[in-house]
Amino acid sequence: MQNIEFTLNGSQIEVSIDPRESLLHMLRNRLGVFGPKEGCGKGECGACTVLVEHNAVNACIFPAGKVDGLEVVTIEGLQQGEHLHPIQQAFIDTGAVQCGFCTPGMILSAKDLLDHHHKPSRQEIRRAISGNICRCTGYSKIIDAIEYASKDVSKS
Amino acid sequence: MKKQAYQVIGKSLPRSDAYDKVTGKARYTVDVEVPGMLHAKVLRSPYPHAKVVRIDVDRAKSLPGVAGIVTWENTPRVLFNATSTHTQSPPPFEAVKDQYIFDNKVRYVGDEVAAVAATSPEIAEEAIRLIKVDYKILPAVMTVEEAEETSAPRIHEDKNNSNMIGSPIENNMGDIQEGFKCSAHTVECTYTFPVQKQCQLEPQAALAMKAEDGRMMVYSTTQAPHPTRKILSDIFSLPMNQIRVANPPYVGGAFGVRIGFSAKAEPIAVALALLTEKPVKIVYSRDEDFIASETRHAGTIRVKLGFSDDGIIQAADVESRMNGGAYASWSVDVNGAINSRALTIYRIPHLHFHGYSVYTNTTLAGAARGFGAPAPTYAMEMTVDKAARTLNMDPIAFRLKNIIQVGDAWSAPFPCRSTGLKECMERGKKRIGWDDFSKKSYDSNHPRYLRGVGMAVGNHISSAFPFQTDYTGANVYVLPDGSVQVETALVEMGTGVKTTLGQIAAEVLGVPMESVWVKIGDTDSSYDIGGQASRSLYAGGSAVKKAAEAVREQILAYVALKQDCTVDNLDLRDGWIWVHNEKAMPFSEMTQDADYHNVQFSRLEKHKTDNALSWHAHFARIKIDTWTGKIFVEKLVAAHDMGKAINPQIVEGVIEGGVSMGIGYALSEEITYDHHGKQIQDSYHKYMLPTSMDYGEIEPIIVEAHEPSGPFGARGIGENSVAAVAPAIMCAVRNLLGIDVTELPLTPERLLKQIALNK
Ligand code: FES
Ligand code: FES
Repeated sequence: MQNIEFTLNGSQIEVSIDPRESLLHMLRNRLGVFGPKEGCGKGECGACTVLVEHNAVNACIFPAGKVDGLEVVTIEGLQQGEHLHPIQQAFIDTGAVQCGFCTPGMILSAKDLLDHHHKPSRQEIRRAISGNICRCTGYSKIIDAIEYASKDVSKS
Repeated sequence: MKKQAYQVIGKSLPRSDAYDKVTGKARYTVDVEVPGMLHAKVLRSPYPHAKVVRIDVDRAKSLPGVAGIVTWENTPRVLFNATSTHTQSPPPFEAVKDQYIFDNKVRYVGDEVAAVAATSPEIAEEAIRLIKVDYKILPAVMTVEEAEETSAPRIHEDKNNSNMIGSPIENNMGDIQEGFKCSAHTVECTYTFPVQKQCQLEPQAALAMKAEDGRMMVYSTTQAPHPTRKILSDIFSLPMNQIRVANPPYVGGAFGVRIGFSAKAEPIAVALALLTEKPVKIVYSRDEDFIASETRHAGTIRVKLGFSDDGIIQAADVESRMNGGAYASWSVDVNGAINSRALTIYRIPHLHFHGYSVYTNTTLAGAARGFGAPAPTYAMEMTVDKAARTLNMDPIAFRLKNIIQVGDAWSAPFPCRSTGLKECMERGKKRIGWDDFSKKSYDSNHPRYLRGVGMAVGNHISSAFPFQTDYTGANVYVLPDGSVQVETALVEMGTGVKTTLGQIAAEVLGVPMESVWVKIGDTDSSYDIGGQASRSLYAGGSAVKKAAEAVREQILAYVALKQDCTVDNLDLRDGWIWVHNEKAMPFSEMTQDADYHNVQFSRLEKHKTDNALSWHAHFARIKIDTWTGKIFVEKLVAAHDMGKAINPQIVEGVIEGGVSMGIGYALSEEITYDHHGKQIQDSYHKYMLPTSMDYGEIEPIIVEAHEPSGPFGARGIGENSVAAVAPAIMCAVRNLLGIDVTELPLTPERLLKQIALNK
């Protein structure tokens, strides 16, 4: 076991981990953070996407030990008190949520995109979420949501 | 009192589950944890067909942390069918029960041999590796052809003396010989279909434990809690009321893969929980989900169509042979659906259908979104398109001459009371720009690219009636503070039923959506057969509407007495009681008052068992790269008539999702087996699921032909948009290249081969 310290959704965390375990395993099994989902456990579906230092990563294949000293944001950390992040609100408004299992990962991939790119085209949005599988929506309304949010995000 | 426009019906209100889902608060079975819980893993067969001669669990048992091991030797020898349909098949339909939790024979690679419960998933995994099994390998059959040979090994020795699953489905109307005699033209073709996987994002999972109230509590990913409870009750000889099955409350997609058991997650968890007297959780890995949970049926369909010079269909002869895999699951029923999807779109005076499924040593095939529909819709629509071409007729004009109209005789066991198919065709045709694109066109900049359009139509059911018991109970009650509770056992697996059922109750009771709470996915609710057959809104919505209407009557009668007026002078709207068209008091004040007077407003209702078909027309605009064989769907217009759209935004979303699955079915998705009988595509990476980059825009069109039997005129929509995608695309391919695509999916390799053959 090894001790690491990192920032999770704004709070300082100390946790002891098995050096072989994944970030997803640590979040779900040690810290009870269930927003990130496991759809495949092999880096193939994006359901486990979280932000490490503002970049989207597949937590299921990201070594937990690597977040030592870094900043991690999961879907739970997006909301400011009562206020949803504009991307979360856009997902609700445009009907981009169905079963919701891909949603946390989708929203964080979208956040990575919009943090780095204020006015993405639909094609750029498609590329940004191409590692996130959604079987329910056919992606249309997810792309709409991100496009819609990009207007809001760039305003604020 | 003057009829008001709807307040909430027909409005794209935000989904009531969306907040939970965008904030990460939504809980799924995989997220449920209880103190002292054990984790289970399954040992699966590496062989497609073998006898289990001996299982040695000694080493596994002595591994520290292992709490219990189950095999065929210490679990109930009760046969079952893991799906809801064979749990409650009304006569004359006969249940085919051919599965045990574990058997002393394995019938496909992935079949369950044993399961271990341990203090961690890692220990359970290690214990699995320590179990030693001696197998006697038997010859395996992987295809329908192999399974049908007289010398083929029997996969279920006790069933018949062939590998046929149950009995074939037959359907006759008119006189088929006569029909072809009076046909000036006939076209005939056989089509081959692949195995498709549902690929819901949440893997199969269950958690079983003795609850505080002494009952067996099972959290599960099932899309049919009551039928799941029934099968568990049969296996473990527990009264149904001593088992509770519930989603916690969400299900991460389903698409037919768990109408009943989630593969075998529930019975394995229960068996281990009983053995260890501890809570046991089991979550399948993605590759287990691929190899050991149901798929769509692969198979072949032959269609022969007879029609007159003026393009009137006279006769249709359809034959289907499906690969059912190792266990029956839905394999009898699927041919009923194939019959129905192929033969209820057009007026066909003389028709014949014969269809059956056979056992093979492949992963069992079951229900998949658009149950039974993609294959027959493809076979029929490709044949109809060909018939139109034979006569040099526009395929839309040909179809318009033949489509079913209200009141027509057809072979479905319920009447056609509404259809908006014509409007779907007309609006879709306009939106895609049919007249501009129907001629073959080269991309002017790159002659290597071809661009063109194709179309196809289809229909789908709105409930399982009369093929299966189909009923739903809904409880509606108004609480003293004016909030409304609706209870059903329907499942929120993404289709929006938690929201739309709430809209129905809110509309009837004249209260805002926020004051309605809908309980879902729990057997501690009235009986219901679950989220399947596109029935949740049609059947569940009817039950909720009926119950809410009864409650409304109770309220109006109470207020009329209080206000000393007749109910005709009253209304419930916007959360207010209206008397003589004036706001008299808030709804909550009235309910508080009723409470003081010992009056409660509540009702349990059941929908009137019925069925109706929804209709659709799809138009695909595609671009073919003749060098690489790649087809890109630039636009897919999906015009759907589902009667009243209770929530148009939800309807659109559901249509788009189905179209996406249809594009995968047409162009890329396929499971094949290696020569050891093992699935080759057992991960998302190997199985070519459409990503956000793989097609252009999907444009849904909503057509609303009022359905008299549905709530507010609504029919089903959940599964409808998968089937007519592939034929729309392949009619465009035929248009552009003159190629008849008889095998799906049309991968770039297959298309290049076809192009070469055609030269
Ligand atoms: S769970 Fe991490 S990519 Fe699928
Ligand atoms: S909403 Fe279900 S997988 Fe995306």
